Amino acid sequence: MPNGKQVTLRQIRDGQSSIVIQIQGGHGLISRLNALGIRPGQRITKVSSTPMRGPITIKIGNAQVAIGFGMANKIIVEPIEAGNGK
Amino acid sequence: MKILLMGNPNVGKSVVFSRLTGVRVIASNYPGTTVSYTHGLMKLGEERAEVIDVPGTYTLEPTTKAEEVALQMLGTGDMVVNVVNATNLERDLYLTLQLLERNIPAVVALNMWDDTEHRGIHIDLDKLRQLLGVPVIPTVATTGQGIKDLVESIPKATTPKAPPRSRDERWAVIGNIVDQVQYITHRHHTWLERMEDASAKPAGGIILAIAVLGGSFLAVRFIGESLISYVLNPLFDKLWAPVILRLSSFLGGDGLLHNILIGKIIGGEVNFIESFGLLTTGLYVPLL
Repeated sequence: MPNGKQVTLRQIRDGQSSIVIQIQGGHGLISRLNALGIRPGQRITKVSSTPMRGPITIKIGNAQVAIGFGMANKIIVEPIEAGNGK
Repeated sequence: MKILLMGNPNVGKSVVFSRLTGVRVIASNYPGTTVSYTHGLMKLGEERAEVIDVPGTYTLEPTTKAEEVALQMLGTGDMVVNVVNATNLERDLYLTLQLLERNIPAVVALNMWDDTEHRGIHIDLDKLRQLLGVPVIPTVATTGQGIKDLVESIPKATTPKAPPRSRDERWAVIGNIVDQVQYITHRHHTWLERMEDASAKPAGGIILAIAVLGGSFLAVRFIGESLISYVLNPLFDKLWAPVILRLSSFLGGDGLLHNILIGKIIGGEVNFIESFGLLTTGLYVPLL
């Protein structure tokens, strides 16, 4: 179950799954992420992150996409507790 | 006729393109390999059709430069072959729906079809055809499977009368379609599939590569050594040596020609290593 804690995508650790709550960005960003399938209510998994404000890889459905650090910072997610089904 | 190959990034459009036209384009396992477009010709019955490999796009509301290019090109085509990653229907159908709203004849190629089986994804093709209203062809572009069907389906492309939808409506429609056509079962991977998975990852790939190289080295050595000891050596000793000896006595056991061809006869026998003649050591050393 989501534990009610809302954080940005960059704050969660690698391998953590979470539900997208909100995208704090302008129209352009929302539409870009929407096209990637990243929209509120979707479940995404952070696959890896890169040091030095590098891109963050996330898994959505069966695809992996890399998004910029800035973008990840604008995606508000609610982590799903580990052990709660994959 | 102008055929546009459209689809999300990294679904295999360029490989489909190569298969259709025979033109080699650089395809790699990264999204966004095709930034500018490539075009080629293919035979369609009697006609020649122009095929354009459009850069990958997630949406027709352009959000990047490559997507703007894709959108502009859409206006110039006569029909669209929408390449879809069959293992990721939900996301890829978003573009498909947008294309269908454009009232342009379309065919959907469900690429990476082999991977769906592997992942335990089952897709009801007839249902999908019915819901989308266009031909849907499963393909595996990397092996060429389904490409013939795809070519045959191009003249049968249909223009579904899809009403323009808003973003949320599209996702709702997609959710509905995916619920109806796709179900996922858990299945155990066969060892072959495990090997395939391992070979595609750096660590497993290196180990497999070393194993294959080592294996082929051992195989070559084994084959070579068996050939020498069981085939070539007996052949030289049993068949060739008597011929040489006869030739030697025919030439009188000495002389210029004898020395060139046979060399020295050591202890009444031919020594293939030390005789130093064209027909003795000259044959034996290069062969063995």
